[in-house]
Amino acid sequence: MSGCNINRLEPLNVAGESTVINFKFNSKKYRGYKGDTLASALIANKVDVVGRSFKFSRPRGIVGHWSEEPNAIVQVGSGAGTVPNLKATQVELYEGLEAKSVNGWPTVNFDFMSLVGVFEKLMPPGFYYKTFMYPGRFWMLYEKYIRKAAGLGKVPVDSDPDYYDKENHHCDILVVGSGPSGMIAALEAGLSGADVIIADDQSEMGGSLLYSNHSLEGKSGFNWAKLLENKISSLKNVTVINRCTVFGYYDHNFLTMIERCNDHISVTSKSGPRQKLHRVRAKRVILATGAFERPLVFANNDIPGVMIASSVSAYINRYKVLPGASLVLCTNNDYAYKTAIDWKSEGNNRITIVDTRRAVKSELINQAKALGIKIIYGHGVTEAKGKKRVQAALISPLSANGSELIGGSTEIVCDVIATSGGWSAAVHLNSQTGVKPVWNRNIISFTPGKTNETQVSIGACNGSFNLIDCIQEGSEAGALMSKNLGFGKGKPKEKIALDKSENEHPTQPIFCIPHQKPSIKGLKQFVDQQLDVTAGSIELAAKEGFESVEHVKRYTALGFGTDQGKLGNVNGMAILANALNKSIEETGTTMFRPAYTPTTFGAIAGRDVKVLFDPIRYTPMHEWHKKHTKEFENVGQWRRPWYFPKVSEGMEQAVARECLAVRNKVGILDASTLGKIDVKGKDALEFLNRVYTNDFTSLTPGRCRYGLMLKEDGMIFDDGVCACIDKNHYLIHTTTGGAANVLSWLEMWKQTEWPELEVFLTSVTDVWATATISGPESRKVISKICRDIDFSDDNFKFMHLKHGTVAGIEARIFRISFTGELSFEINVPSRYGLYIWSKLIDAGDEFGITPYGTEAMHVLRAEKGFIIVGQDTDGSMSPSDMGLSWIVKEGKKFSFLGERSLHRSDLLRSDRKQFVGLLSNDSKTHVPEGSQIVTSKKKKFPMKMEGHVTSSYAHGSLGYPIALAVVENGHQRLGETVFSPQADGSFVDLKIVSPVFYDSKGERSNV
Amino acid sequence: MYESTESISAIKNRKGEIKRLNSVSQVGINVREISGSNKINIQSHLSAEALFKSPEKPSSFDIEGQCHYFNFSFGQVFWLGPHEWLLSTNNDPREIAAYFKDNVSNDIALSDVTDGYCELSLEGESLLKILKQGMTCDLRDFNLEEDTESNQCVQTNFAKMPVIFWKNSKLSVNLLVRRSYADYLIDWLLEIGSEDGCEILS
Repeated sequence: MSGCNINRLEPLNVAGESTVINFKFNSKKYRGYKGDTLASALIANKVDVVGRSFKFSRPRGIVGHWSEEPNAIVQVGSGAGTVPNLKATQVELYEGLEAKSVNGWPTVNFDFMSLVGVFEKLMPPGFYYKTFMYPGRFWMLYEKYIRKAAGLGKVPVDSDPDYYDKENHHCDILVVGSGPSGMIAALEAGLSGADVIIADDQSEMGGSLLYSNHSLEGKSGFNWAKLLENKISSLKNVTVINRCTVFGYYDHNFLTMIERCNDHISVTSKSGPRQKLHRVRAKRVILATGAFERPLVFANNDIPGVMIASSVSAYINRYKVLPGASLVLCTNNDYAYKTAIDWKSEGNNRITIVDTRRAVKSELINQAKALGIKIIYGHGVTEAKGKKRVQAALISPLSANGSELIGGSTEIVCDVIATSGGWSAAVHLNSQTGVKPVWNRNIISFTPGKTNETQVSIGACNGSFNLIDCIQEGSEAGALMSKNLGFGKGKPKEKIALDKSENEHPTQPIFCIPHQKPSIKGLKQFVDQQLDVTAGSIELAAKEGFESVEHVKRYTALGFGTDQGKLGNVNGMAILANALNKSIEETGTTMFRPAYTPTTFGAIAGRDVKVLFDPIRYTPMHEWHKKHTKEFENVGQWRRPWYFPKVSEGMEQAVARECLAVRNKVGILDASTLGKIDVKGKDALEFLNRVYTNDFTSLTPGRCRYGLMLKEDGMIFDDGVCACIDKNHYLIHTTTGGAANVLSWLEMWKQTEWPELEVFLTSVTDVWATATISGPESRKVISKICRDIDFSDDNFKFMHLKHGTVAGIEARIFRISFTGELSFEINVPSRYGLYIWSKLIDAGDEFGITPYGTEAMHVLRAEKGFIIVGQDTDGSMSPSDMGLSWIVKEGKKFSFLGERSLHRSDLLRSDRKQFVGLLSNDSKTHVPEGSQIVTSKKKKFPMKMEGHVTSSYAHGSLGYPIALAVVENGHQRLGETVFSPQADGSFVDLKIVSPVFYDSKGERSNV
Repeated sequence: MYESTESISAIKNRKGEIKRLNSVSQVGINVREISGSNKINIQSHLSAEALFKSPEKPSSFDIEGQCHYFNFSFGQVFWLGPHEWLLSTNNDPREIAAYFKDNVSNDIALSDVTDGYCELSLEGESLLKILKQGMTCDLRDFNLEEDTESNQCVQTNFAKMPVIFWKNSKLSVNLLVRRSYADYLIDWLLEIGSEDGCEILS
């Protein structure tokens, strides 16, 4: 057992109970207490080095106590459940927890990569771009090693064993943050009757009251917060979600929050989802996200033992851990004096306050003086001494404005340097809504920009760093926001007896303590500790001509880490402003985007993984298909049978057999997935004439017509057969994958452009089950089970439909064909789909009926040269390109969608790619779909590509491979030999032919 | 070989399925298929008042409003969108067509969409939890956890599938899903509901 809590002041209690927790860090065993974070337990066990810096591999210790932590990045767990990039300050301790540093080899205490630090002067900002430019061909090699050196932690390679949930919420008011201002806002809103959600990333409510030594209404801040928490929790209309980080704020008050449901629970006790993504739509949002204490920048400020002042207080007061034995506190403000007072209250007298200000007076300062704490005014810590732990602080006297040193340095022996450079409002969520933060020189912080009335920032995130102000703002905002929504009268109900605000001496605007040497000369004055960005590197960027803060951010990587620059950004802006000789207002700040803190992909995916990844649609006949094949194809969301192999058949044999059955006997296809749209109303025919290229005027009841739809640009959008069911009633068939888009498209034109037309559209795809029987024997099959229709060619012509009774079920039968053979599409209400299918199979048995899948369907239609929109077209093909000019009726009374575009010069070019057939010269070689077409084998790369293969099939009814393609000016090049270069360097010799390979006169379907 | 009556249910092979995690002894949500009623899609530029002349409506209820349903002589009418309703009726669709032909002008389109939908009833203590996982619409107006009447209905997405749903009674809703999605929806409910137990009732 290492360490053994030597920095622990007393056992940590949770709800009056003290529970010892065993855990491992970097393979060593330690003990902590329930209620600890991994960080507090490591500090208790005097673990100084917890990681290595990203660029220079410098030893790093714990700096903060929550999400602002830049250094203590750990990997938790092992195997498939391991999680990289967690902040030790946010990992709650549980029995059996195993964590390790994300970098440092062989150990974090002795890291070979630290040798890189020797060459750190050679690694200024942008050194990747400067160093690895030459020779250009070596970049792939450089990249490999740069990537190896970079990165934090390892992503598990196995499937995540946990599951994640999503939950959608609507509420009147969402309060983000349950610190003092958030709590009181939620209470007031709840008391007014509004439906409230309050979310906070900590395990309990209270925020800064959990660790500060404030007293309120005669109670400690902690007890006051607990009292308020009880009141809030008793309200049924208030939902409290702890361990929940609001990480995204989007338009119209839509916010995303991630709840860590069981990350704090031992692996063996876990149940339920690991994390839950809450998606909240709120009528009003109250942001109470607090503020981050800013560190002061000085040389070697990254040595373990240099910490944020308020974090030192948090470890003392909340976790009962004293982070060291001797404290130097460097500050430019009053608030940090609380840390010295907290330290002193634990009976430790080794404290020195170094205040950059002169002649300061305030109650807190008086308190510190009264406790006998040594205070040195007008000085700053210029440098920390030590390697893997602070050993001393060098301090020097400063000029009145803190910009210069005015004397030599003095060394103070210490093992903790706590710093405070003032507070930065957490404006991240406000900024995510597109609002630029505004610099407020009075409080030396960015504050939220102007927003609309549905959002308000309160408390510290609004720049109100005084507790009394926070509570007042919270109280008023909760009541006022509720009133805006019709709840309450806008007056706070909860009476709080607040003391007077303590008087404070103004904070001094100082960000980087000057040094005897200039920053740009390689001083290690770290601004962003996670990405090793120094004050000198920012100054260098400015010197190299970078002026925009956004450019400097990207050039230096300031704020690019997982902490998103919570501690470093403002210091960085101030240093940049100084280097540019501008004010901070003029330099400005960068904007913030989601996510506020790193968010797992698991939570974003939720249950939409594996079998629930995307909805699957099944046809009414699916049960039969499942019994007869395991080979299915996804077509859109539909699951369709691909082919039906017999024993020992592969795909090629099965598809060839199915094709031949259709050509020679009869096949049966489940065509239920085709989109079907009912078009009704007295203007239905006019509507069809406008959306289809061809003329529908003569389409009378009982007749069908193939139609083509174009987009406004004249490109093919969809095709299918439209049938006239009755007067003012038509049925549009669409492609399977295009059904929803076609309906939306038609609705858009109907509603927005042609509202005068009386036409109504209804999707009926799911209403009808469709079985297509195709082949010379199909007439005999259908005739066996449908007695009330005369199926002779004279009575039931091609492209007609009839109503009849099939096996006792009322049906619509269309005589249309996608195979080129005599075909009948039998449509029955979906509930009878399976029944009719089995009846047709039974009836067709004596004729050798063969079920065929989508692959045979594709082959059969390709043999006939029928296109599939989306496969043979790609959104850039016109009717003329596809040889479908015959279906375009120009000069209609109202025109049709896309007609005007057909006359654009680009569509009239003779060298447009045109739809053709391809046959390999050896009649054996199958050219893969997507293959490019060139005119010569001998030209140098890159060759001019003159087209590409859109469909290609090795086996069908013809006995040789066929392909469809689009080739430049292809219609005029029939008979020409072209070539298709393949990935292995070979070429396939191809002859351009007509796309119709079979029955070019169309005699077989018309018998 | 299948009989014509065997195919009527959209989820017939799923009935009796149950899924729950080992630690769960109760069933948080029951799912049952509701069959028998016909569904007629009605579209018209006429107002609801003009179309449904004798609605048995609650006195405080405006049938011209959105996202609600009301009783009509032939069944329940669900608002689907501007100028579009769904009638759920036990009457023959031809009878409905005849009624509108005789009583309303020609400015109306009726489509029998009975076979396009599968109607499911979902009920149990976990109802709200499950709905909130799959649905983005505001469920507060439905008062699902209260024993109060609600005339709300909504056409929305549930588990990424288009559905129409309305409150039946306390912790009970009915849901219309396209027939082709029904099997997948059962898969989804069993998986998501397994935490508290989910059973498909026969």
